[in-house]
Amino acid sequence: MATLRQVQALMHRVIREELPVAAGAAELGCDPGRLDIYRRFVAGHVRTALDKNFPVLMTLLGPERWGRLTRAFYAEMPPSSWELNEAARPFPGWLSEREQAGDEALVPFHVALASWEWEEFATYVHEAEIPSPDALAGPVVNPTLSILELPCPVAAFMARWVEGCRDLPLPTRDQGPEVALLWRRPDTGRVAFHQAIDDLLFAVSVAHQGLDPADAARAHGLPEEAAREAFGRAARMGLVLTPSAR
Amino acid sequence: MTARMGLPFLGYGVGLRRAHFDGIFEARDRVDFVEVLVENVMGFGGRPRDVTLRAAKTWPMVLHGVALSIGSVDPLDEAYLERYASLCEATGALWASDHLCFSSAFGVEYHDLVPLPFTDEAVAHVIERTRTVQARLGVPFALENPSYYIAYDASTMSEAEFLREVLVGADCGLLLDVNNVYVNARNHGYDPRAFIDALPLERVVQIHMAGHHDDGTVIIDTHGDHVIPEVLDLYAWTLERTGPVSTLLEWDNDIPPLDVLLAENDAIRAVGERVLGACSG
Ligand SMILES: [Fe+2]
Repeated sequence: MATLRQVQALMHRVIREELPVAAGAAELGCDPGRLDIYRRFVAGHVRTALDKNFPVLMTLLGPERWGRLTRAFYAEMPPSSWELNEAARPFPGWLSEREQAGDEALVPFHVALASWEWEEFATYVHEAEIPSPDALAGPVVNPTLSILELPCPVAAFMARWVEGCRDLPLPTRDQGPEVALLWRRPDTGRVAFHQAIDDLLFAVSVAHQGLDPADAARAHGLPEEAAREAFGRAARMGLVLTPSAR
Repeated sequence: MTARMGLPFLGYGVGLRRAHFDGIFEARDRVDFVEVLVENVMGFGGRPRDVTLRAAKTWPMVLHGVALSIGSVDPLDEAYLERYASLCEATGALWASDHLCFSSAFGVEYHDLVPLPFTDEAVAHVIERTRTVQARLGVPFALENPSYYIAYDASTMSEAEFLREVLVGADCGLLLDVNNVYVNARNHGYDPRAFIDALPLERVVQIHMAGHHDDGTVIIDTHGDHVIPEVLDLYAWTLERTGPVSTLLEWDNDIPPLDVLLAENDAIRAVGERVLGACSG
């Protein structure tokens, strides 16, 4: 009689496609068609997680390329976390290796976009709690802020994509690298993003150091009005958080 | 109302799903309690956590998992249990549950419920681990009868015997999924009523209701449709034997608009009230 371990090992090999379903079914004494349900479902869950976490990339690559890539990823990278979305975490790195190895289906922008889309999800569920204005003594950086360094620009592309533009040319590496900021908005709980332009970086550094914008402007040799404007804009975006007016 | 294994009758509830985060609080009177899928919250901040904690203040809450893998030959995941226990504490959950199956092995997660062989070895293995889980979570813990599509040659007892041995041995509650009973009975050719009669019904602390997909050759437990009349009948038949049991509607795929979900909950409530009214009257 098979032990618990032997049964699980057989199921594992069938599910991971290391053993043909017919052979597994013969050993387990079960119906092959029914057994195949498990193989299909387990692979399907990872595929669903990838579809959900990389919707723009999936659309750009199209069903044939996306299907081929996600099948290869599933075969090479078995999920090891109970959290299904975690199965998608290694995908951008894996895609980058594929692209560098010369996979003709991929261009650098695809890899940058994968990193971006994963970061969007990670920011949405970031465990940091965003403090309420009443709890603040001075300005702080939104604790969900993620600073993403990308090999080519993604922020402008995504801004237009969100507006509904679809026939957009794919940015290339020639356009230079980009630093992007992603954070969770305190008011909606949704993810906002922007290219890391000087004004926003100034506001982040002011909040990070706990300075008054006017003092920081003097220290940086900037006009005070421009510094206040930059800081106010970042605060309205929820990128920096300010205490409630007392 | 009579408590079951010391746990209260909570009425008729629904699973809290992201699709209904915006509207569910306005329907607070049509839902008696909520169930949260722990894997949808643990490790997450932001809206999923905020909404869960708000729901915990709004309704009685129970927790339900799919990744405990109580029957796996791998060790229990300590980090998972730690997060689970802190979620129990943060939400004030009345009890927690997962399925009598394995969902990971040899370091790989399946994110699916894979059946165990119905053997003495599996019974002993699950009993020991269930006791550990009960001690770690700090709230009562129940095991659910999962749906399953294959029967192993290795099994030496019936599914009902297997459930009974585990539940009695581990001294834990049963989350009786009535749709799963129907699905399994059809897929494996047994009588669902005889199956329920063979269970330790005094241990039923919660009931799950859900829809499924019948493709003609096999019924797939999709949680993606209305509860069919046969399952409502089986539910009524079960309640006649158990008396009041907290009953929860699961709808996880093709999630409908909130009003459809609430109407489905009302339909289940109507069956429950009809049976229980008749029982007490
Ligand atoms: Fe269930």
